[in-house]
Amino acid sequence: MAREEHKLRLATCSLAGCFGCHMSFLDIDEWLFELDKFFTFDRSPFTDIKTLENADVGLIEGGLCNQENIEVLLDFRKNCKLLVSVGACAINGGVPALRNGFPVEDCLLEVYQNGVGLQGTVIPSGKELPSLLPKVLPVHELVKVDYFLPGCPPPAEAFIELLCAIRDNRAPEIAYEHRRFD
Amino acid sequence: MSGMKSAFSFDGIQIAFTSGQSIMQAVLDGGGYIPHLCYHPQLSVHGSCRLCMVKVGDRYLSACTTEAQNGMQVENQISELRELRLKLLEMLFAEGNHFCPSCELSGNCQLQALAYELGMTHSRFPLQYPTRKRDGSHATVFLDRDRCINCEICVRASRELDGKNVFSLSGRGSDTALQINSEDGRLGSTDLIATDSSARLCPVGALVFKQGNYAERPNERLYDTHIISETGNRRPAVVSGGYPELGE
Amino acid sequence: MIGPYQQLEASTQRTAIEQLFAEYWPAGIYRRDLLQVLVAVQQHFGWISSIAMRSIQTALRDSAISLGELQGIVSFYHFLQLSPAASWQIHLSSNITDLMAGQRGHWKTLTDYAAHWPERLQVRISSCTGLCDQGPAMLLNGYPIARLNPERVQQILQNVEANHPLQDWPSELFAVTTKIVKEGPVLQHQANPDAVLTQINSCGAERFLQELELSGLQGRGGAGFNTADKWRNCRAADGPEKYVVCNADEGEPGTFKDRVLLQHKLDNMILGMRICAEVVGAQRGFIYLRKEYLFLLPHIQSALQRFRQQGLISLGFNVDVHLGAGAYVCGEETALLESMEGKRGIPRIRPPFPTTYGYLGKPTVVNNVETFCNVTLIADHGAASFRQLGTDQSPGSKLHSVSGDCQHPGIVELPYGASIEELLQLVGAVDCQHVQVGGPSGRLLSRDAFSQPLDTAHVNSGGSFMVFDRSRKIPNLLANFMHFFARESCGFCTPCRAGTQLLADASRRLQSNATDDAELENIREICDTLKRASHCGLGKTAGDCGEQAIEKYSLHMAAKSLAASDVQGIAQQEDSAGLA
Repeated sequence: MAREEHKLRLATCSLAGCFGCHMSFLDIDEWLFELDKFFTFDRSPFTDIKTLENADVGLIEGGLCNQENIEVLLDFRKNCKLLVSVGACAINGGVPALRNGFPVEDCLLEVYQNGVGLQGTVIPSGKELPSLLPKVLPVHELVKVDYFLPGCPPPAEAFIELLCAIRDNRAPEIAYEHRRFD
Repeated sequence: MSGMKSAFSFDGIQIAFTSGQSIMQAVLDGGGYIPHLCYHPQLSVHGSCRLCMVKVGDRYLSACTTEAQNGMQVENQISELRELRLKLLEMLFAEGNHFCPSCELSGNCQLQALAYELGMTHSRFPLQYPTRKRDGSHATVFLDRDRCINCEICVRASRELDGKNVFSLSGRGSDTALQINSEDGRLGSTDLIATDSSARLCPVGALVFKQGNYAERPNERLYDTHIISETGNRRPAVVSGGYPELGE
Repeated sequence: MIGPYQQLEASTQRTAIEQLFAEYWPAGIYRRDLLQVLVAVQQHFGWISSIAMRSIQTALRDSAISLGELQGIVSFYHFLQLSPAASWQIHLSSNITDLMAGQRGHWKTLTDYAAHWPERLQVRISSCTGLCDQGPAMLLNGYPIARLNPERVQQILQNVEANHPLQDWPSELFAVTTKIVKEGPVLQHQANPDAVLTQINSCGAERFLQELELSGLQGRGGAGFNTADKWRNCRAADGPEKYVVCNADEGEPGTFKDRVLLQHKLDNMILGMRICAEVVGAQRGFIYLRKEYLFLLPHIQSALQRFRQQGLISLGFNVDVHLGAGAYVCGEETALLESMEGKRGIPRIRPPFPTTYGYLGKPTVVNNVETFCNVTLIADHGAASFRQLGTDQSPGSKLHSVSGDCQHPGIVELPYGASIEELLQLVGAVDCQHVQVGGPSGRLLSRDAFSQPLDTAHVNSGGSFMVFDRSRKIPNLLANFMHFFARESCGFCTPCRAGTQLLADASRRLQSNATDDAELENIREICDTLKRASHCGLGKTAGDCGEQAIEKYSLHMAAKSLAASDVQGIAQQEDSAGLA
């Protein structure tokens, strides 16, 4: 894809998330045309671009649950001027963090060996599988985050306000009815 | 009583009060609002959540424990206090496990509502992810300690309004936890019933009813559309087991 | 002295508990006795079993208590435990001075042993045990052992292994002796109780109160409130039933001067309480003794017995000892009163103050051990003599408990107004870089502040004085103090319950250099929240303490980064930041 020099480069990713925030992003519907006037997508599941360099904005969905999440996040922080935590999981670990009350080993045993209906199964292992972190962590406990967009998912209006604010070089101000923790 | 009128200034507005009233009581009686979680007008004063911190001169005082004085100049809606309350809220979120998306009280929760109003987006403090016990032993009421903020509203309501003694606190410091006063420590073994005030006043989703949840659609719940400083602390009948609210 | 603790059959246990109750509470147990009953059960059996709790429930005369509430009280106090006791229970003092003297090594040795023999030995951390001048220290089944070193630790383990009855252990192990580096009027005062009381009786309560007013005596516990004012408020309060409480819950890390006064000047203290009772019209007194000082109980009780025999205290005014159970916050006077009433030690909302609404809701004077000693001094020698020492604003003298990096740790009694420098010279503190005056809730001062006077107007202190030389690192101090506050927060209010824990975690990261500017800013914000929004003094001072340490740390880091850019004069800067 040719670089559109006058546009802000927007990257997105989902770490330990469900892609629900990305879906909500797409709920901006026809505002996508507006978006296209001043943003172009860089690395993102929307584009399937796998590498990242010199982006202006990075939207992070999901918290940190494994080593790969950490690598991706550090890459985003290094290559994005502004980093935004998007959604409950990025902000407080969300549903994946419900496992934080249990040791990782117990979770794996429950899921792969001791759970109902499981027989003769093994816990997957191998170098290609990223190792799990002892606890799921919010994004801002590892890197500096510039803005936060709460919600599960944040409503489309919140995405619009965020992107407008970044375009206009100001801090986003989410209207009361679009402030959501759920 | 003498006919002298007593009043103090609250963000520049004159608030009348009767002798012995706290700043909080006088302000709420006058139709105003100061953020609070552990205060309830029908219960004894507690002063633990500290969200009602106001400024009088250069002193920071909790409005619920401070008696109103004639001519007092009380500041409430100032950026300094907003920032202080925001930090207290973020501490409450950091010390518990507040996963709003899966909580029955989301949209009707006073903790969440205050966070919405103050524009909280995240907790700047490292989340503690404590391991706490849940209690599903009661037929109609569920206790999720992950969401408990140790405000002792249920403790006081049980003793003072219900004439029972179902709850207390155990431990100390960050190990402080809500405890059930039954022989086996389980809610199901107590004389708590669904109509008890203690089951209906929890400002967060720590004590919830097992039935009738998620009856309202997202965007239509109390604090989805109402700012808490305008509606006051309320737990709508729909999440109070269908019982009308105990007035505030 | 009880040890080893034994696992008792249910019926044996029940009988033993009933005997205990019959011996100590022949008139039955009341709600306000609850903590004393729990402490007694803990001390006798090593834990509070469900059998014990049920016995307490049955024995309570005036009110019913649920198991849950009882557990709530037990779990509030460090020295009460709900889990079965090992034969031997060790609480290792974790004050910074203990750590500096090698406590970590002993912790490892002892916990390694306990891991192998959990039924024989249990090892836990406690806050300062008040033996900082002879640390590292521990409590063994409630009794102090000081001057720990590898040999003594081995000796302890050998005795644990042999399971010798505690009274057969070498008594030398349990010796607690403190060096008096410098005496002043309080430590030199030998009062004749008869003469003092006769004098008080002849001049009358009001006249003595005027004398006390003239003396300008301020409370010696740390807050420095005017004693005469306190007494006058209580005297003026309505009601025939009043109480005098001596706060001997000396919990501030680094403080042991009250222990020394209890050891050497007990009569003067009791006399002070007696005088107070006379002035305010109280019929009963209590000495709230911290559990760490259990070893002083026989000494105190025999003194009280002697006073009773001599008719100096009598039915008109009797004094009892009330034991704490391991809670720093109970040094705060309203938490202390809650604890005396047999409850969790949560500080009350003030006002009302204890002088009008104290123990059991009755007017109560709560004063520190040293304050009562000073009262007796004033009663004996008069206000004019008292005022000869000290400053106009802070008359009299002050006892300092000195520990840390100095040649003569111990007690120094100095007139108010003496400088930090003077004190440091007396105790032979060469190369001192920092002092923590007044314990973690006091002030951290560096060399540039050593000329300051120690008095209530400048550097106020409750009596803790810890000395640090240039080998000590600020993050280690901070981590120790923050863990102390987190361990001792009562958990009542949001900022202290959450904030002290956050600070403890942050200080650990600071120790391992895993801290960035954003985190330092976070620490500052937590401290600020604690200072402004806490319910009681514990939270407020925890914030203060963190703020001071972070300020010094930042100064140090700034100096370091200057050093990196090779700026001249860096040596002096490092020096003024006080860190090498």
